[in-house]
Amino acid sequence: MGIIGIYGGTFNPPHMGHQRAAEYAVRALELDRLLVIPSCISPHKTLPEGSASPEQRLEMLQYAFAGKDRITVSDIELRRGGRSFTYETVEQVKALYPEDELMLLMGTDMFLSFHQWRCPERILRNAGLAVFYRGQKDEQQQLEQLAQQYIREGHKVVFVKNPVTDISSTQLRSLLGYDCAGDFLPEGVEDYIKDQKLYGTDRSYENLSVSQLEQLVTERLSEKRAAHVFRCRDMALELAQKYGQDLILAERAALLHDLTKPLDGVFQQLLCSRYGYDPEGWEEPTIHAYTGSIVAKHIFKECDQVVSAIRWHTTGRAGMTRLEQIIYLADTLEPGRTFPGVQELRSSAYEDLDKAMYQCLSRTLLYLQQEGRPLAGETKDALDFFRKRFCGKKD
Amino acid sequence: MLSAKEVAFEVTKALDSKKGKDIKLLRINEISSLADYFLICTGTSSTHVKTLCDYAEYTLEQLGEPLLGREGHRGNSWELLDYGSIVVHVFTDEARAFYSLERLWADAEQVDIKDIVIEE
Repeated sequence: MGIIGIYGGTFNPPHMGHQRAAEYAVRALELDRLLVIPSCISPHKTLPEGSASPEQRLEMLQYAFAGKDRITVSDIELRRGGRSFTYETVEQVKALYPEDELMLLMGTDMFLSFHQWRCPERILRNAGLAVFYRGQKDEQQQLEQLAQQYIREGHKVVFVKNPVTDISSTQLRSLLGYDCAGDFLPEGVEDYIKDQKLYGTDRSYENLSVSQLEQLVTERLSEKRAAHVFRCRDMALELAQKYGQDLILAERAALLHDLTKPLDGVFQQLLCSRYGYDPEGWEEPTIHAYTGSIVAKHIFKECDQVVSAIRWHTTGRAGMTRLEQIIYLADTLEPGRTFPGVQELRSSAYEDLDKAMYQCLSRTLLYLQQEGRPLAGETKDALDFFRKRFCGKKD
Repeated sequence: MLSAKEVAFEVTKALDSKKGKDIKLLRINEISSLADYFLICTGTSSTHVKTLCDYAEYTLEQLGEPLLGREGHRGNSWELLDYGSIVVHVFTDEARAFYSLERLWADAEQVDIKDIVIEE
């Protein structure tokens, strides 16, 4: 009697995280075989537009696990068709390997919601659960408590500490558009993706129309963040109108300014080095301005004014152009912002840009001092610059 | 009680009478324990897909065949009817190409239905 592992998922696309997790699972659980099973239609989520077809995902998996000892890519869910419910897969696998012990692999989120799956008892009847966790303290207690319930009922639940860092497939798909995904995709997969024109890799991002930029914002950012960007754009247009600045540039800068914000730190760093920029000195909350400007310049081929407006929108700088100030202010003061004093700052913005910049930067200084966080060099210089400008005006 | 093959032929006729396109009957019992037959058909729109499935369901109900499950997906671009020994898949054109079920089951025998289906 052997042990067969079941590793399901959408694998849209398969990446190094999947590869490493699979290899680790084989060792940690002492599996005789691991079945990697792409879903036909995921029962719990809808794949975004431009996603790979089930067959394409299968082919990419075949690249990812080519020649890997004891790991087999299986088309069992694809052949079954329809929504791929795990209980049916487990029962089918059990019928194929009646003498063997089955272990179903899953992450902590899936384990915590296991009771909500379809027919979980039919899964437990045929397989043990192997839960991969990251090792955070509170997580472990919660997991262990839940596991005890299942174990008391006579089922097998084992925990495996997963040393592999999570790679988000959503972010990976964005990175493909920024030509930065190579490091995270198994050999052959990146070429396959480009060859099959998947995930928008055949698109050009140059000279996109406003509505195309809007669509990108909706696709790449969370609902909340996209709403922020659109409000930002509206305010930027108002300010540009009021202060006689280029409306087209203001709109483009506003739409693109947060595009790289969702990317994890490691991806932000990667974007920098991919295009020859040094991420040194940048903090996590603000680095997206840097990478946003890199992407605006090299991928979207935006003009210098738009690029710089994005570049400085988190720190500000001495000698900011009017457009840069507008984007900075629209980002900080758009109608969705509710921090104390925002109303007053907003009126300043519609009154005098220098005044608004001075007030916003002063407030930032105060806030960072209270939090014990360092002030970026550029922000300090910007504050001095606007103090002189604004106070100069008052005299 | 109808045999699996008879059920398959009845559904084929039903789908054909409601202008189902490109109907294919695959015999899979030798290569899978999932079912004996897969019946695949295209509807010209998602509404048509639904109509085809409704009529297939009605037809088999009249014949006393129990339906084990019916599942739709993504605004009815793919609906399936599970009759145990036979699973009926009705797709829109786009969905059929995207999910390429037939390619996945290329090793199955295609059952001759020329006598049942009215060729256009």
